[in-house]
Amino acid sequence: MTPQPQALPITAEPWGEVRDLEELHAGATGAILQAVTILKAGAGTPGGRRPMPLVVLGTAGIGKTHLFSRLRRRLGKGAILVHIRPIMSAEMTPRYVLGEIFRQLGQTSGGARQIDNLVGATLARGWDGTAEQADDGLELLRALGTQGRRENLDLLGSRLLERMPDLDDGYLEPLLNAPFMDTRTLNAALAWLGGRDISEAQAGRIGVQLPLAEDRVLPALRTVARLAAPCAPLVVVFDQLENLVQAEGHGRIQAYGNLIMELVDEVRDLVIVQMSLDSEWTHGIRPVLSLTQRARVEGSTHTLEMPSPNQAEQLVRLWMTDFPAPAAPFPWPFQGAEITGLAERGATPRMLLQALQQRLDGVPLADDEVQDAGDALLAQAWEDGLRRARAEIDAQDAAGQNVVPEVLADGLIQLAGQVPGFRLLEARGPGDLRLATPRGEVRVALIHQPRPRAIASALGHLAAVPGRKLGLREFWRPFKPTWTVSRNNLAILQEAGGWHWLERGDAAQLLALDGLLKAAASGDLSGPGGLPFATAQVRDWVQRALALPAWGITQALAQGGRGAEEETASGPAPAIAEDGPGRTRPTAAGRGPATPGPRPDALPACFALQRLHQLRVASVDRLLQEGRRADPALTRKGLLAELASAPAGLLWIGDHIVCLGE
Amino acid sequence: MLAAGERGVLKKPALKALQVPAAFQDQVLGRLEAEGFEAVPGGVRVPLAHQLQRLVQARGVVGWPLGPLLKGATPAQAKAALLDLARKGAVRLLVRGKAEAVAGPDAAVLDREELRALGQLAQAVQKALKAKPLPRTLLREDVRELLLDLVKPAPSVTPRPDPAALVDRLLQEVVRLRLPDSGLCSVPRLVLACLGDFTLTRIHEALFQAVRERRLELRPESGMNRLGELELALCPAGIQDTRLSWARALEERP
Repeated sequence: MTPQPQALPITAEPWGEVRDLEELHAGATGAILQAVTILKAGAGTPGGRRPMPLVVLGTAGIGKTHLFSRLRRRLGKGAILVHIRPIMSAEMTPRYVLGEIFRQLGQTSGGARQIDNLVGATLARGWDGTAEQADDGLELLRALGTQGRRENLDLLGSRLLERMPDLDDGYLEPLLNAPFMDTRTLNAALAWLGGRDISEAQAGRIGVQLPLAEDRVLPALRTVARLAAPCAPLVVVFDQLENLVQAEGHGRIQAYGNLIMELVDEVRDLVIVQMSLDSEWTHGIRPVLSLTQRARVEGSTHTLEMPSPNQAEQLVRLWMTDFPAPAAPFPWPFQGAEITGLAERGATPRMLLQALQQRLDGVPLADDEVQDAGDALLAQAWEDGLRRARAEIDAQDAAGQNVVPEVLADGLIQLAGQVPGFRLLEARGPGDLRLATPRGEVRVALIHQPRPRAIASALGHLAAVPGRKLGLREFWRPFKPTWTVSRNNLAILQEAGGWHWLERGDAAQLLALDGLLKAAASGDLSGPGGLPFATAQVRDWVQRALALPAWGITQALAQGGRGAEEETASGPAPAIAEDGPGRTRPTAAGRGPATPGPRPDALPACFALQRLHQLRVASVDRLLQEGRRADPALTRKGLLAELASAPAGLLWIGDHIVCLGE
Repeated sequence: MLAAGERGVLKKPALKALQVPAAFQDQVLGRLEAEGFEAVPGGVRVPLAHQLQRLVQARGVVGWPLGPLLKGATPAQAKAALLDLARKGAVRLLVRGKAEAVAGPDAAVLDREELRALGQLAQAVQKALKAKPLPRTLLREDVRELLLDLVKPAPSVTPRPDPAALVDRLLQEVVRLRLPDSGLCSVPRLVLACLGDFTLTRIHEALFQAVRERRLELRPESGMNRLGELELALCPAGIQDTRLSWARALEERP
């Protein structure tokens, strides 16, 4: 087999680096760059021009997501780029947009963190400098001591407020200070600035009492947008909007229309780019928007062009630059006018790239091999998605944050759509999903809140819901021993079988499943021939290959949350639930995460205890980490089961520290 | 004007409902009459000729009686208006089985010569049926030949256009049918607009010719099962059996 010029990406990655043919989609690119220029020019003046939202349409594989990568390269530090995909579990709100903005301010664009670009440019402007001096301002302040920096930032804040009195003063201060914070404080600040709930410890670290109130969300967005507009405007790109189209109704689309109206009317100083499949926009989204919404949403529409034969040739030449030693001159590995023929028969760039790979592979696939090749590609996409999901979870955890609850809830909805007997009945947000299961309806709530009071309230609310219910929370975000109300409420739910701790693996699978199925709906998964996989094909593979009914979370949804009738009929919940995937053991209040049954493939039973004998005191995380070196498949559940099976003498401090007694 | 145009007839009670003062109602009706509406007792109506033409245009073939379909006209007035239009060649009067009907001037109908030929056939059939002492019959081939002559498209009605003309026609239709925001034209709609005059194969060939001439762009369908079987069949096939469901007129490009 001939070596390939590059690893062919099966999914589009907005933050990846790709080869780019500038000539292609030059019109849409120019329009977006012009919008940025207009915003920069008009931002300093009260009645200055603001660009209207842009709609970018194209077929699957034409390069919509690629356009985002190009904008990152072209705009560099000259803009703050935010990439947002629709969510299914809740309506998209200004708070969600604010959260995504601050989640992505940590991303690198133009060789620097976007938060540094934003504040650096603001500093330069505040001191009457130019945007190019953004780095100088940051360096200067970093060189100063804490006191000197504070004084300078206070002065800058005052000058900015004089020029723009409608900025939110209390919001401005942590924003300007963000680049100079240590990592943990910065993570807390970005989460709070993004409107996300933060723990008491994080709140203490940045000196705030409460999460950002609802009535401050739009002013916060306005503050960020106004600060950024003169130097590095916010460019918010809504991608894969076709995922808003739902069989159940038009609520998500209308909510999206309302969101854009608020952004246009209230926030104003930002560039909005909306990308969608042309067919879905025309038939599924646009007709649902009201006239008022359309007037805001459709500032200008740009249809991405298909590559001309000439451009198709240029694309192939570009990709072949990665190929070290071609066996023959161009158009090898194509023949004659083959590339022109492909372009004239409607080949998108992605189809061309896949055709190139096929030629380089040499032998065309036989019909019976196509299925295998398709399965292999999907399996690869799944593994990539899992890897990204794990990295995302780890990164969020390291930053003291939970997985974005809306995305996790989307994963649950996708799961319910794939397992026979399950389906979504209603989604009112991560805290309120109604699912149909083979045993009847179950109310599912992601208990994602970081603060004990909010957790207790959410648990109490769930416990009061009649019928079957199931609370979910990440295992690595346990309740502290002092959160007695939360733990009592948890115990009530656990007694009723209405609780499930999500393992990291569970959460990663849900995120990966969501990503895979959304990409399929957008035609972003390329099959062996370069054509997008049909959604039905991907769903079929998911059902064949992923054994969804055996997932712990599926079992929990199916078995957990006994209703009152079932409790009466079967007697009270057993003291110790039977072993099996997804079952949790009811525990006394204050005991923390339920202890699952033993794993058949766990390490020898003596490992944890042996190590504990050496250490005397150890955290579960440490034991898990060391155990995984010997057995990568070791799970927290398995480890806890081993510890639970110890004859006697183990003392627990909270849920995470275990000691060997005398 | 609007009310009369929509309803077909406008009388004084309707003017009252539209809050036209009684003192001005005659004046309003007079103005409408001056603008081409026809006077009827107590009001005006859309001219019968116009009503008839719109009716035929909308339905293709309309069966008698026409009276209930025309607003503000007696049966006699409707018949007189119809005959007047038929004399001018603006409509065709038809016989369909036992009923009578009206069609537009472009309807594919038999001319006098063809009717005479059919008449001779009918006479032959009658003669064969009534023949004594035993009934006769007709050679199947004779009848087939006569009927084929009648139903085959007359060269004068559907001339075979040259390929360049078809490409031009397609581009005109693309411009006419394109969506104002995206500039895209649905290929099924485009094909249907031309299918009366050209075969599907020729339309698809002409679409690809326009692509080769860089005058048109064809794009693969990307919707989530939005097209039915028929619509997909109207779209030309792209690579690997994709369906090219959108067309866009191109500016000058490299």
